[in-house]
Amino acid sequence: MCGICGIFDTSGSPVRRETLDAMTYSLRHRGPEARGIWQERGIGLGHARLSIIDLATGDQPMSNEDASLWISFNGEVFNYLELRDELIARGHIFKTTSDTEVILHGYEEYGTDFFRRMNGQWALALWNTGRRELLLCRDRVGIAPLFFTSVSSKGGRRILFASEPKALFRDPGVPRELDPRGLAESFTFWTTVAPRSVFKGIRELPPGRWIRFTEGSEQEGSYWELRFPHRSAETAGSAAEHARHLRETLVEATRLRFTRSDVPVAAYLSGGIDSSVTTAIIRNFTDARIKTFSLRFADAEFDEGGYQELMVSRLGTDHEALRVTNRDIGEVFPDVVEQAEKPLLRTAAAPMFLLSRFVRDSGYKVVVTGEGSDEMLGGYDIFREALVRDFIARDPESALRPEIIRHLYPWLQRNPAAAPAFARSFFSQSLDPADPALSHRPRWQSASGIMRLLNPDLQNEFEEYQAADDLLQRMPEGADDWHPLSRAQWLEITTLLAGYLLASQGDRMLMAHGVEGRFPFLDPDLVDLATALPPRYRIMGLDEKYLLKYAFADLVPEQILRRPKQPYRAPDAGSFFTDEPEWLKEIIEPRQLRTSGVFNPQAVESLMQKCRRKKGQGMSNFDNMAVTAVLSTLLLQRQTAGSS
Amino acid sequence: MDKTAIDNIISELREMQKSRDCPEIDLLETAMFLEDVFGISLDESEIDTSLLGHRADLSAFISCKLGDS
Repeated sequence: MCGICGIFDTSGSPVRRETLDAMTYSLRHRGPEARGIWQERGIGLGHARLSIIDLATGDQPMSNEDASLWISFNGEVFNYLELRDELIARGHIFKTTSDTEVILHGYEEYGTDFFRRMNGQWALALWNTGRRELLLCRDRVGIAPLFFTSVSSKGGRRILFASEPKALFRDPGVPRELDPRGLAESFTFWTTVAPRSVFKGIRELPPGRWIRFTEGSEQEGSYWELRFPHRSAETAGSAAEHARHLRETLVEATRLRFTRSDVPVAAYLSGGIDSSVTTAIIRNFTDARIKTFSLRFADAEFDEGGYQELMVSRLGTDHEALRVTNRDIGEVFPDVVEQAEKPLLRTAAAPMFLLSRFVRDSGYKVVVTGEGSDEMLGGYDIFREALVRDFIARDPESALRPEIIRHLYPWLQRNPAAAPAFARSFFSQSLDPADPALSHRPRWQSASGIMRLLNPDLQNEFEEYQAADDLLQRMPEGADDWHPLSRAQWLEITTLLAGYLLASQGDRMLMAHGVEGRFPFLDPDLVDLATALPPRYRIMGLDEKYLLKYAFADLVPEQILRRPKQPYRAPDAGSFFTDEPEWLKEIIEPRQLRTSGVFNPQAVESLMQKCRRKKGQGMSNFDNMAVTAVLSTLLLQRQTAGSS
Repeated sequence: MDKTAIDNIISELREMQKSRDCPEIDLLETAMFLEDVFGISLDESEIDTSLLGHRADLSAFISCKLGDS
């Protein structure tokens, strides 16, 4: 992965070299190994390179043979060797061995249809010199980020694009303001949803889409869309048959991601099923000891070290664990926000930031991870909730049906006092079986409580903007006829996977230190397979990721296969208030809060007092989320205003 | 849906429940599964052990509900 940026001035005026240089330089953490600029009348492309494939001749921006087409590319095309052979057979002549050049020739041959044939992760810009046309494109699920904006220029407009918004702010014409609607989405879905970003005037290209700019027009299209089959469309085959197919597909996806690299590839090993499966698969493709990395937490509540050690011992990997304390998280949090460039409702990105630094310092710059498995194969509690809420909604008068909630959350059995209150909150919210967001309403309603902390003017603005309604209007045609689990997966993949897990907690934390993540569970063939599976093979009864466990029962120890699902989490308020970092006192100082204008100073002060009194320990789920959201938003606002 | 297909699906459900060290069939989970997979809506009186307690009974119950027997 790398950093890309560029400017297209539709008036044909020369692009300022200083701005292009500054934009490229601001992305140097994404590509510390080389920086390249290419420009001609009205256009300039920048590239910060992380060298992974074709170390010798893969520098960018790169052109085709007659320099009629130029590219700045961030990412990988894992099937580039197969595509290259095919293009050579069609008469194309290659001057490098890189995957980047395959895109140039593939686009020449097939236009935007070529993106559908690429198996990979990317954000790219293509400039057609003859047509004076800029095309931006992003991978199917949003692994690689891509933002763009436009500002008026003399006789036209400047279109600017970049891997990260911070590069766009290098142009003095780009406003440095938070977008209230972006905040509303962040405080509902835990993230903005492309095309919206949290910055006024800056758009994020949605996954699976391209956009083409010419001197007088702007045209958008999609080459892929996340879809699920009609509820009644049952794919034939038994669990055993589907499991065999899943296994073959995941093995091939992992092989491509492990072997297609000219530098060593390591793996993250979290102690969960997903990374255990991918690491076990990798073991078959190398005689060398696999290098694995993991996070350990000083706070035992969050630590998964026991499971990690179990897998390390089984696979015999060369393993290193980074131990993270609450204080580490608190101290590094401003850097994390600066990289994420979004409000954060959890601190879980901070340990990932520290881990990628550790990986890079250990001499690695590519890691395979298990991200995407939960979303594609049905691993989250919110999906099980979708099934349970649907079951109860079909007979809301039933006294027996609500009892099933005890199977979802076994801790309720140990704490009967909590059960009635929890059940009330769980079932009283929008239990309408026709609601396409039946699964996600409780989470969204809980998160949107953060908006009560905003200043009254902003609150009024939010009353006119319902982020959830806006999102639901974008669901594909026919989604009403999908299985409730499929609808829940679409919502989760569109919001939290693309906007948070692959972004704020994924690409942005990895690339902060020039480390590329590779995600076998997001391979296009695997995504196609997973979305077509009968829902019961994603979640059988209430058993999550049923088919994955079935397919890989021989590779993963029983203790890991059958362990209670534990989402990756990190301490939130405890990271800020056990041992208060210096930056915190400054940012919540009353005068600062008033100047900021985003939050209601009294409401924030009251929340902070509560956190201080309890030293961040034993806070409610909402308070943990709210304090993290407030602090990250204040940091983001200050960092954005200060960009120069 | 033919009887073999029903038997296979119920076997998969039971195998899953057994693998969780759940010796007795989980009634509510099974009821939810029946509604979801076979479209059989159950009322409270039908969710009892005599109907849903064993694989063979379950298959017969489903066939009966689907009008196959």
